Amino acid sequence: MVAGLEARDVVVRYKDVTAVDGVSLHLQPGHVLALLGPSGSGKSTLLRAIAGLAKLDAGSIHWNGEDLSAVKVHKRNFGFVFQDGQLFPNLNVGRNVAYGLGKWQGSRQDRVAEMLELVGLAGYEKRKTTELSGGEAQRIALARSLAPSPRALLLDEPLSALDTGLRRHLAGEVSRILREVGTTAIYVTHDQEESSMVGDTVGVIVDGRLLQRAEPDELWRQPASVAVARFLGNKAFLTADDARALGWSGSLPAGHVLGVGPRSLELHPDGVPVQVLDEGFDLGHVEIGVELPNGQRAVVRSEERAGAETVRVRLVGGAVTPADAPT
Amino acid sequence: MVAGVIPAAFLAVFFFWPAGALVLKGFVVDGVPTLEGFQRVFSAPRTWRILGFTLGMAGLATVVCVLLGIPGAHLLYRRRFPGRAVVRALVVVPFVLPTVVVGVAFGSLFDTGGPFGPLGLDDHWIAILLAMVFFNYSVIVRTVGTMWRRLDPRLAEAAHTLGASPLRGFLTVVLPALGPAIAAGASLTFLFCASSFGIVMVLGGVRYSTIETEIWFQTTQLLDLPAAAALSITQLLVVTLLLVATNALQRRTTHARRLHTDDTGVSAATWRRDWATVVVTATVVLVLLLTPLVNLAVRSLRRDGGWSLHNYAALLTAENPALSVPVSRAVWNSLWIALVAATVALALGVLVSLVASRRPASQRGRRALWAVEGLFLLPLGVSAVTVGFGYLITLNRPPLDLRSSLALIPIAQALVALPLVVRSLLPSLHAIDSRQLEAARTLGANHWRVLATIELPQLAKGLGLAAGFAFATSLGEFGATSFLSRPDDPTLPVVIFRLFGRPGADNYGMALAAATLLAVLTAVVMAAAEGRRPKGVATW
Repeated sequence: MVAGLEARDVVVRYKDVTAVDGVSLHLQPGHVLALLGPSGSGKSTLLRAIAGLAKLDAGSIHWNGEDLSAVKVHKRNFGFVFQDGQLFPNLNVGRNVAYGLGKWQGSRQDRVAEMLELVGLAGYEKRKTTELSGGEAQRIALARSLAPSPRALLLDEPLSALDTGLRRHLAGEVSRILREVGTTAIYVTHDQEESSMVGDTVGVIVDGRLLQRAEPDELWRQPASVAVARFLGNKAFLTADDARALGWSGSLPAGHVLGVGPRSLELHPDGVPVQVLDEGFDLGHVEIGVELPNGQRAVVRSEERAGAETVRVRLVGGAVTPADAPT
Repeated sequence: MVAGVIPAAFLAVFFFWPAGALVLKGFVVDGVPTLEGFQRVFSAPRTWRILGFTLGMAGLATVVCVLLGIPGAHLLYRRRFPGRAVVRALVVVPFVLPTVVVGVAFGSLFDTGGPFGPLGLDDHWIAILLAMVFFNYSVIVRTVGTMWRRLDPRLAEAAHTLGASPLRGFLTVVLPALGPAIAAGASLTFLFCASSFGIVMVLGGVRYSTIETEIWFQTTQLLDLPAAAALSITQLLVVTLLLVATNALQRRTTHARRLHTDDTGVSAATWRRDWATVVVTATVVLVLLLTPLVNLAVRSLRRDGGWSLHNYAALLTAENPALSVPVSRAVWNSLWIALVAATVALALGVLVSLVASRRPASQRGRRALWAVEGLFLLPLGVSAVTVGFGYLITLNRPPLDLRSSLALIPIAQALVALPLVVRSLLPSLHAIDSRQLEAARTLGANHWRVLATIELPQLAKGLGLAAGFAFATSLGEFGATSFLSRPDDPTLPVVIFRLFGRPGADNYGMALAAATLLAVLTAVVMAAAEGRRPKGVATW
């Protein structure tokens, strides 16, 4: 028997489009997987398929080895958190949270209070759902999904409708709550930072396929393919010789290239002079677009504008990527 | 499953059977298939004149409604001014009035004793035209206005920055954008005008007939059922075609609406900018809409050159020679029949809405559902006259002899009201985000629990409006009822029609009083229902 949640060769099609194209994955009980992918990559569809909300065209979903194909949504006991909460507007906060608790569960009030406490909104029972801010609504939605103690929790971009600062804060909160409850969870997002904050492992989905699944630091250091590396923000790819020419001290295994991301290059007075192509601002720093000696474009982060037509850069890191791995 | 079977059975017995019998009646005489009825009807020049009059009047009234309605829509939905809510409510009043009342109101406006009597338009087609415009003006104002309100003002601004004059901007950018709404409103108006039975019955006299009044005439006066059946089938075809067109246009309106922002184009009205629409709309509201209603109420209170409640008192007491029963009896009939009809329509409407709001995942399921929804809305297209006529020839003999029991009237009225009920309930159900249902299911709720906790509470929001619509529709229903009511046990609209057609100041005064009474009753019910209108529900 395989403990935990398992998806085997899952395929979901919409008319002519194959949204999920043969994905298999396994989560040990208590494991949190962040699924990262661009919009339209099929990650939400995969999540809906696991919950039973989308029909499988092939493959199967298992819990502790049991095939769930014939188990209806409301019998699966998988919690689901939607992007925009979907709190029931005709019920107040307390009754929303209590919705998934059976009538026979005696201590409903206690459980509701406990859940609200957990998400940091103790005493909100009597509030109307319309009086909540976006962040509060998502916390309540999380509390509502956790209240019946689901065997797994599925979160579909739960924070993507919120503004950036709040999103970062809540991602930390969600991560804490998931660990505190110890639930098995899949957290779908398109935000790289969120995925590495929340997930024990991060899976990258592009075009309906799970391209790689690894712990966050490994994923960013050693992407499994050029496609994954590109998605993670590596704009240029260098051979070992090119990298060494830019001052890189690491070693590159045969058949690999080095992906150059925004943090791979730094300005250095002894660095290699490169042409400045463009400049842009991003959250408190300048991103200088430069042309590397081999003609590719890369980005260097800087505290201030370049102020010249060339800057000197040094390569300090990068993503070690198989050169022609099948994507 | 059960939810679908009950309304389907009801519809089968009380709609498809009579309609089928009616069609058969047109093609089969004495068991022999024949087109004789059609031949006879369509070789008569009278038929062609009637057909021409029906479509011509409807077309003309529609054009007038559109021309007057577009300025009204702009002023009432694109501009803000004190009292706008009152004017908006006022504009809708005529639409909810029973057609018989509208007929009587315009009749009393133009006849010899009326304020416009000197114009010599008594029994004139212009009076009929004005009554149709009176009745349907709000349809255009509302359909066009609700879309116009959401139209992004930057669209016209872009045209102006490109050098287009306000007129050119309106003609080349705004009008095309409003196109679907105008077309939808116009086709609805045409539909309502082509089937305004009560208005033409009251105002047409012997000179003017539409297809519907001709069906009534052939059935009840000449007893020529094959001819009436042939006319009914013609009417059915025309109306069904119109309905299909309307539905298609309305779907386009909803699609187009997604492009627009909310309310950003609404600004305060100023005389300098808006004088033209103000003048047109004020004239329409004061002269066309208010004058007939005020005149009706005033004249119902006049007697022998003085003020008096005599006409109303006569409703309660007098044994009128024109009627075999006192009018109070008809009022009582109308009320209980409307109550029964509304209850039946509501019960069926809830079931139909629940079925029609399912969201099947498969393409085939969606198509089947679309067909079901169309099926239940079909009675809207089939005029009440056809329903009444169909009942008359089917349900008055075994196996189902209901004619003598008065039960047919509420059933017919429920059928007429059913599409309105479904249309006021469905939007509330459609407004439920499908993920709400999914959320409930992931929390462990089965179908019944989802129904009880999510769908029914949402449905309840539209229930008040639907109940009001059903009750008011039944109260004023004349088309079907005129075929089915017994002379000794009539409803209020039937009594009004009979009294208005008889000579004599007594009858005339009582007709005005009864019409005023019915108008007030309907308006009160509708006002109460409108107060419960959920956001985003437009019903027609």
